Amino acid sequence: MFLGGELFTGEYFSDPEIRNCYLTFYSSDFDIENDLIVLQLYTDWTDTESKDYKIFKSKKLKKIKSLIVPPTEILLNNWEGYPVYSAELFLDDFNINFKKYEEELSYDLDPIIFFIRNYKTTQIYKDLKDKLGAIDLNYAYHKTDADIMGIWDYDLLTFSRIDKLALKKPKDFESPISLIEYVDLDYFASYKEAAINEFITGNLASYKEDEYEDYQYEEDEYLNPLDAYVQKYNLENIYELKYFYFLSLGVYLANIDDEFSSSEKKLIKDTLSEQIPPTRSNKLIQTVEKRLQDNQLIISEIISEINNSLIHWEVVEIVNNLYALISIDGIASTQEIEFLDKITESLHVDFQYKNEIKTKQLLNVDIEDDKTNFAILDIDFSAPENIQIQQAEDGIIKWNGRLNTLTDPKERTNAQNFINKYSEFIKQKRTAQNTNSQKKELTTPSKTSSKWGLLEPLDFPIPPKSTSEEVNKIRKKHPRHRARWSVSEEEMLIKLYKENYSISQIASGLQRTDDSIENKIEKLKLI
Amino acid sequence: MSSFIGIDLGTSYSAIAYLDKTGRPQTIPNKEGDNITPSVVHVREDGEIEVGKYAYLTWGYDKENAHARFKRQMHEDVEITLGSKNFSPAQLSAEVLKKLIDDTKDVVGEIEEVVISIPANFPNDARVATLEAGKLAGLEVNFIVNEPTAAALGYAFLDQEKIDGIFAVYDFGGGTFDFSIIEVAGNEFNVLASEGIQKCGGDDLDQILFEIIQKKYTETTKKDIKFEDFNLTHAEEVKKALSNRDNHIVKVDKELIEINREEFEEAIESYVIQTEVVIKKAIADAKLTVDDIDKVFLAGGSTRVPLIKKTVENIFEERVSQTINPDEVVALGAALYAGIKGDQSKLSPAAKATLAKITVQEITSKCFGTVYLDTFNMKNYNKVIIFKGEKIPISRTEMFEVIDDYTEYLVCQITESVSPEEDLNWVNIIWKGKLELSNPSSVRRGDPIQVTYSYDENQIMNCKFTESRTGISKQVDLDMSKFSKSKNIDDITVL
Repeated sequence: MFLGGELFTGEYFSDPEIRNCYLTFYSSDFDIENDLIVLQLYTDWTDTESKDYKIFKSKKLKKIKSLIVPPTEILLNNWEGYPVYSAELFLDDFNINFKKYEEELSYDLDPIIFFIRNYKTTQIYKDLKDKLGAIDLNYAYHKTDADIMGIWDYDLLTFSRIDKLALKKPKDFESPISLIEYVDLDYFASYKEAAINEFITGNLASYKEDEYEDYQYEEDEYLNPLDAYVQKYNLENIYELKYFYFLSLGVYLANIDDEFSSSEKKLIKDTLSEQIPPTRSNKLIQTVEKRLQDNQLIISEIISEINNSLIHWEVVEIVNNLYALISIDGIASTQEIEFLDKITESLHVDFQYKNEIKTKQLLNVDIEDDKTNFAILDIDFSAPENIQIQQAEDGIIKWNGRLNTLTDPKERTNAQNFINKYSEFIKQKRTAQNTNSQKKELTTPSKTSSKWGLLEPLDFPIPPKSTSEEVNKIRKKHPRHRARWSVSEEEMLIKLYKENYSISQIASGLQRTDDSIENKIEKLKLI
Repeated sequence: MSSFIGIDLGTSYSAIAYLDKTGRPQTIPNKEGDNITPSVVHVREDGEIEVGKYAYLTWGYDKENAHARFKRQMHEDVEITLGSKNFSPAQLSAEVLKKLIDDTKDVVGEIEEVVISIPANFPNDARVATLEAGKLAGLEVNFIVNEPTAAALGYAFLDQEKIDGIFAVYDFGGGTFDFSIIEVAGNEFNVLASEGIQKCGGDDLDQILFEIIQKKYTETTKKDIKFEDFNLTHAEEVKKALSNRDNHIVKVDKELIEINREEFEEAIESYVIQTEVVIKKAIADAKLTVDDIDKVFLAGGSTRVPLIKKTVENIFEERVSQTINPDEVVALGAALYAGIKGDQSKLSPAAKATLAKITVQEITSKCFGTVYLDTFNMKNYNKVIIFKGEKIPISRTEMFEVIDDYTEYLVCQITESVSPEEDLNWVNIIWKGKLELSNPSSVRRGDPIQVTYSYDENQIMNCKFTESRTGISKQVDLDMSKFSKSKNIDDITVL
């Protein structure tokens, strides 16, 4: 009997903490069509002295003791007389730093498996939480009627997700480091047995304290922090919480324009009915509407609770649904967009994610336009001005390229509107900058040492080093040679020229060559 | 004598040029005596089709029977009804091409090679439609050329000063804006970067001017402007006037409406900003600075607008040049391109001597990639293999892996995008094929698949998918100059 296989660290991926793994096990009594397995994964299983003993936790620090996983295929028809099944563990949202555990994990990542047969997903949490602690249902599919069957031998094998028809990048797998190669399961047999018995029978007393100290140590932490929210909103289970929050924000958002339209209602119902029975979703909608009418829907409270309870991907899903909601009528007001942007920001959704979602959802709708409102743009308005302008320039380039791939006239029009809006944004920023610099520079008395001598250099920016040696050579004497003329500099030139400063004086003040000043004066038709 | 023809099939105006006996390009006037022909088609009451100046005048008041600006619709699957006839944008373009050829056939004679210019950022569907228009007009179009490349060639040959160094072409035409940077070293033309904006042209400026006048008219009269009283053709005239004077008075119905250059320029500034952004991007793509550009040539009628010219001068100072008529330079360059790319044995000896040693080094105008599955999040993404702006010829290989044991076949997809996009929402799948793997029972997860794209001087892109395990490969050739599949070497099933 052995536990073996490979687990890859996330270092081969963009996020070092994200990974999933592929679990195989064999059993004579498992029904792949109808059964689920419950997994409990531990690190530092054998190191009872270690304070690092951890169960899996989500990134939002939600304590997860068990995962429910639907096995997906039969790998072998016979292994020691049993069929072998496989299941993928989606550990993306769990907070395990594999680098930290690099050594320990070589033998310490240990799954315990239970089967659940024919159980209703929504009942799993309710019925099993006493035995299994907090359960993450994200990985559960709908099943019916189940009970716990027991534990079987298993392998913890390789890492991958599968798709027969696709290519994948090999660089992710260039030199896989095997963290678990081979583990003699007998070594852990007693611990495993203890744990199994504990879970199944709840008979903690039959083991010595130090052998199951870890369970007691974790006991308090297993109390689900979400229970209070579930009770507060009178929900049936933790699973409904995510939808309740979406509903609350959605109903609030839909009422911003004082019209909760039928299409908005339908979208909300459709979204809920994917996971919750219609009678239940109707009830939830009524509850939320009532809370809104009674002024009990406090957005800041909802946001705070979401931040306390949901994992990142659940939040992203809510945000995605909310952007879909404001787009459903084919028209989105800038107030709705602005409000949703603020919610998204408060929910700490990454700027890039937000833009991706927003862009896709809003590309198909008419935006109620207001020239001075730039909420629709992918600009981080809290960033310094030059960054904002750079983002606007990037937006022009991005949408100009994307016009090439869009065929739907409405999408093309919206993409073009994005381009125009970005350039309008730059225009307004420039106007503001020019106004400021003009005020500053034109009210500053010219820094003359003498009307007959050369001018002190005026306060205009020095250009970066040129790649042209010739230009750099000239710039040693005239630092602003070939620098771009700004409106304020032109105005300064006109001012000085009209005040009868000589070409050489102006050239020294503007730090350019006499020739370029002469050319500019000619171009400005001053002579 | 056989002729080498270049045609600038423009959004607002079109022009045709040919190579004379010395190999010098010359524009040919139309029957009305103009070097440029409005790209407007009118179907008269008797069903006759009229193209050019008079069609343009009709378009001013009769949109039911006359249509213009169809170049902007070339990529669209639309039907335009004029009178009792229906046209696709390609068919309308074909009418313009016919007019250009018919009007100049006495000069042109037998056509040996014809090149049509297109904007640098033209979508592929529009490119295909342009070739289709040529075909409908009875022309065998073997080459198309990017408008800024053509303009650069025109300037390089016809500018009074000998050009050697790095120069740029700022081409603000009727419908699109293009900016290209070209390095000239003797007879070698190397395109270093090319960027463009699809919807940024004189037409947009006319529209803005029209809206200003319309607003003023409505404010004064509380009425909407009538199409016959003031429309885009009138707006274009006002725009031209404002290029030469500070203010202008327009008579609309019985109202006199004054407009000054300042308010017009304020209104069009956001378009000018877009051109500045594109300039910045092109210079960065070419890994240069503004100071490295020795000269900037202006092309396209819209460069006569003072704000536009001033903007370019603000960036490039005294290095801005407009020595050739901006309305004609693209056609002139396209004719040169025909002489360079065509069968030079048909050129006169003098022309051959002029053009024989010229080489034009182009760059890729798009990114090309393939679709792969990211096993991290089970989503399909685009992996760019050849990037936009790479020197042609280029060949590059990327390795992929089969993701599951016993895989029987892989779906191979070739993508195209302007920017190096990863998200499949923003790329075009230009080819899709099924690659059967040999002996599937021995295929294992992780088996390497080699994907090689080779883009040659003739703009043929060979895409090869090789199963490294067995060395068996499947390949397809795509003609990117025309965007057609020229060869299907191993008879892959195209899905």
